[in-house]
Amino acid sequence: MKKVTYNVEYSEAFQKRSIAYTGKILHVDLSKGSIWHEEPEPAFYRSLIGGRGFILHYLLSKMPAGADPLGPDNVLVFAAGLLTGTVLPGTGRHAVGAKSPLTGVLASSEAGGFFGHEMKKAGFDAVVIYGQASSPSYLWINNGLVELRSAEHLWGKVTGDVQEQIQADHEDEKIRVAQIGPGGENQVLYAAIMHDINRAAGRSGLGAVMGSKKLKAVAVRGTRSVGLANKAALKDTLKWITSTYKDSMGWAMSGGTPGSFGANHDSGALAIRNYTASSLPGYENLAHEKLFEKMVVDRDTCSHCPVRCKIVVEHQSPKIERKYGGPEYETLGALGSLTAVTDAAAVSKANELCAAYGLDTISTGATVAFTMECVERGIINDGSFLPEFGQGTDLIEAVRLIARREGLGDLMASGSARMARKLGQGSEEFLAVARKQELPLHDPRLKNITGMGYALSPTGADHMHNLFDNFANFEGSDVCGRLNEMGIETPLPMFGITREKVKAYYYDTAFKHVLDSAVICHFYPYLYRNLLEAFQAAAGWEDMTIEEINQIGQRITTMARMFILREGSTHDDDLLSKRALLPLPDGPIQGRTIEKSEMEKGMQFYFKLKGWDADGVPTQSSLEELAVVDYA
Amino acid sequence: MLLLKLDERLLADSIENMQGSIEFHREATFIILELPSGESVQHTLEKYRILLKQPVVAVINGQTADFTQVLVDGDQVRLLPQIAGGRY
Repeated sequence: MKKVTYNVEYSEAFQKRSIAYTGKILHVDLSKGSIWHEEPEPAFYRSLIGGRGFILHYLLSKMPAGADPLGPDNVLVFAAGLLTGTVLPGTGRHAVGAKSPLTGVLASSEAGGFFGHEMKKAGFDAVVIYGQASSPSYLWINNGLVELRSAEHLWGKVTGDVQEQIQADHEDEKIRVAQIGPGGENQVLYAAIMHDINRAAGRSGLGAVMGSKKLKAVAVRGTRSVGLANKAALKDTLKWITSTYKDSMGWAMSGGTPGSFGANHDSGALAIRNYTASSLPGYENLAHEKLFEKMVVDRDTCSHCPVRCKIVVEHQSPKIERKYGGPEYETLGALGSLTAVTDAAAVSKANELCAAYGLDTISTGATVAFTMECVERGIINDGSFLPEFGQGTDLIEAVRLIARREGLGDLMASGSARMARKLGQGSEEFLAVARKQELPLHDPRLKNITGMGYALSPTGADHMHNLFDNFANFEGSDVCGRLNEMGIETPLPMFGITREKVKAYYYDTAFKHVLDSAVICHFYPYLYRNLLEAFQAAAGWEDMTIEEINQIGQRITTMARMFILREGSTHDDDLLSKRALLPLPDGPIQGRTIEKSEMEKGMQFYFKLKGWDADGVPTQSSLEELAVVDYA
Repeated sequence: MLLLKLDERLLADSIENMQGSIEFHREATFIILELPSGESVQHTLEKYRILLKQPVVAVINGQTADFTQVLVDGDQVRLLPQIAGGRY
């Protein structure tokens, strides 16, 4: 393709580091080969904050209703947030969004690392991408200079090789790269966009959207630092974090997210053998103690984060390269527990391949587990590759076949829900999905309000913007602290979907949508008052209140609902598939499930709190109250 | 009496400072406490000043349970740490 160049001057405020926003949003039309930018009004920033808020703004205003997720009309957004790249720990994050090819509704996923921070340093709060390139391309953003370049030499390569090539081409190892691997190129419906080669905007098939646009990568480099409007205003929160993070985040510093694998197995939070078993023989092999003993060689972190929660693994046979990081909790659960593979090397190898090929580990593992059950029951019985539960070599081969869409991998590349529709023979009974997206590893039979959250989530089953029952049940948790700020007494019951828990969900999912707009790590136990202080310091919004923060969250959750309804979702889609609720005959969650009537009652109360009707459709007055009528 | 088992790394302070004169022993990184029954998990933790660094799920006699469940003689209680968020 012909190289296209565009140059943007920094805004004065960003030059002087007197605000945390760059004040500029970049737009790129791949079909036309055109590049331009906008400088939104301050009210735009204050009402949506960034990240998911920005993503929904562009999807609702720039993407035609009913657009083909893999067609030129889909809009792909990389969005930093107000806090991305500031001195506050946990702000090395950004969001990526589009219409999802997996769920048909919203894809909005956040990634850690350094890309979002670097994008702001390069001069942009967000990059919005339209159209489809005629040939493989990549976007190069270097301190305000934007170029659309050929990626013919990168197409077909794995993520590690692509990052090295781009950095070598520009002779700069500090370039940060967001990219797709072969999984995205082949439009696997749950392909991820990888950042720094081991941080995924993993869920809902964003990699397939990028692949459909023939956009191999977005590479960024910037040297401006991100400022604050009033650094002194951040004093209390910074002091609180620096003096307490070693205690409050001790779990992350010691075992990282894998540290909870064993405890989650023992408490029934970890789904096992495609949701059919209550214990996994040999699960200790995947627990962090064994991982650290056998293959963890280092720790890794995101921009401005002292915690270093990520593990880095290395292994000789099978060969696992340390540059691809290591498996997180969700990955150990999906690739290990769901498939009943307890060989840590095999699970870590599958994780490495998912990073190299650019695949979401949760949907990959859950789809492989679903396939294994179909094989076990004789529903899939044709062909040379018939994967079995517990077989690590089958897991690794499945990942390779999915990424390349070869053999059975082509069917698996469409995700478990579409597989079930094609296979029939009762295979729908084995699905654990919401809006066709495979469930994360927080079992709804144990965490009932989380289950309702999966069913309501605009992105399909999702743990990120969800309320966990056990946190609302534990006095002293960050969740309870925030609920107290909203006037809700805690702790709340562990089990069931009570009105108080629905009210807690109403506040907490909105708060987490603000976190994903800011964009900030969910692991830090921020309360409303901390976020308020951070917002005031970063943007200078001295008159902001915690009520306004809640209102912003309610606005963004309503916009998300507006988008999924516009794209054809209905209240009938607000559900969990049967397998996810199958009562188990024994173990820590013996007999537990969520009754359909209880779930419906909870949803109706949530709709009422939101000002939506009985079908979950926002009423005119609720749209007016949140100032989102123009999006309708 | 009941048995409470928890990972020592969960504790916000040393066990000696928290529980006063109650019997306990260590098994690897775990603390095993022998405590009177008759109160909920939550109240038992508060009563013996057992302050935890992070949220946990309670498992009583192998079954997940609410923190308000009243403990009876012979109960074996495990407190299992959960990731995401933390104590504020």
